[in-house]
Amino acid sequence: METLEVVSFDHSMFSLVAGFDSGDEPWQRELSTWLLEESPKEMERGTKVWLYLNSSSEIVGYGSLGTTRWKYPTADSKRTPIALIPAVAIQRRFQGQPSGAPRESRFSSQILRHLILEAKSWPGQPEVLGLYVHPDNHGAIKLYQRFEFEKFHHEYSDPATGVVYISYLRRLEEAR
Amino acid sequence: MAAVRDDRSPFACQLAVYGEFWKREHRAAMDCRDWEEVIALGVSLYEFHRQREDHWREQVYRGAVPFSESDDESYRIQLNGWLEVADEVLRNCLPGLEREFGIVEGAVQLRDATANARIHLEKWVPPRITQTIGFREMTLSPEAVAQLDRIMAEPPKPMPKGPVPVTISAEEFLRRCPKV
Repeated sequence: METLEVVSFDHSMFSLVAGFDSGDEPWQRELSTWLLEESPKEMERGTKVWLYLNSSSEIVGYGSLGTTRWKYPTADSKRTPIALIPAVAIQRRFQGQPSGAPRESRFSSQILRHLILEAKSWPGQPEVLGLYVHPDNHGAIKLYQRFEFEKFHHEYSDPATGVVYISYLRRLEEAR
Repeated sequence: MAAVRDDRSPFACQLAVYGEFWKREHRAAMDCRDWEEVIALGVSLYEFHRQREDHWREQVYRGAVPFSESDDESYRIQLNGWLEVADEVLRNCLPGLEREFGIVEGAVQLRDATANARIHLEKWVPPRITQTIGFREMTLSPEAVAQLDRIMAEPPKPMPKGPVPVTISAEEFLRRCPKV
């Protein structure tokens, strides 16, 4: 069983992720672009990003965690903080790896497990962890469902692309 | 954000009063305390402007307000207007006051604000909507609210057990210098 290592991503590491490649599908390109172009601005606003490494110290993927605020329970309410996974991706050549490993040990499962654990101790101790996923990203959707994320009756239609993103929520366990 | 372009906006009115004050002939008999009040007003106006601008930037970032070139220009023009007045004060008034009265209260803050405003204008970057979908402004439907109520009330479900990544330091990571 290969256990990943994780390091907190910062500006000194940008040159090391310049070739990050999560694939050619539109949502995969979005996720590569997010790390290279969007993450610096989001990190300035409090989002945290991690890189995950295999036993050869190659970058397998990245994950991120931030806070969004929804007006809840009513549209007039003050905004409630919700922990959010803004973006998470695995490089193309590590997707589905390690081959032959049980699915709970796959890199994707390890990364999501780490993000959920981090969310539990996230500032403000939000009760819910959410994310938005491209509707064609079926592999990721299966993973979220396996980790007890529930499809949320709240979609977001991106006016620029027309893509209707699906949201998922997961109740966070009590912080240990 | 039509108010931004409105010359009768509170900020525009305050800036006009402030600007007019400086443009008047300086009366020799003016007491330093009057100047200190106006310097304090100038610093407050700067802070007020930046708060408004930050709020606008946040709204654009979240997608609550669409970006417009005219809003962007309006914010720049207003800050530039403030800077012109402040520059005039620093160049033509403050040195004389400091010669006459020594320390002038608020002078340091006004100089800092002026330097910050200049840098901000030189490095001006128009805001844009975040590309992170989850950070955009969302309005929950009644159905979504009911679902969220239920999720919040339920006990959390355990996640599948398995290995958890082991944390290493940035120094250790950089020492290994991994390749993508």
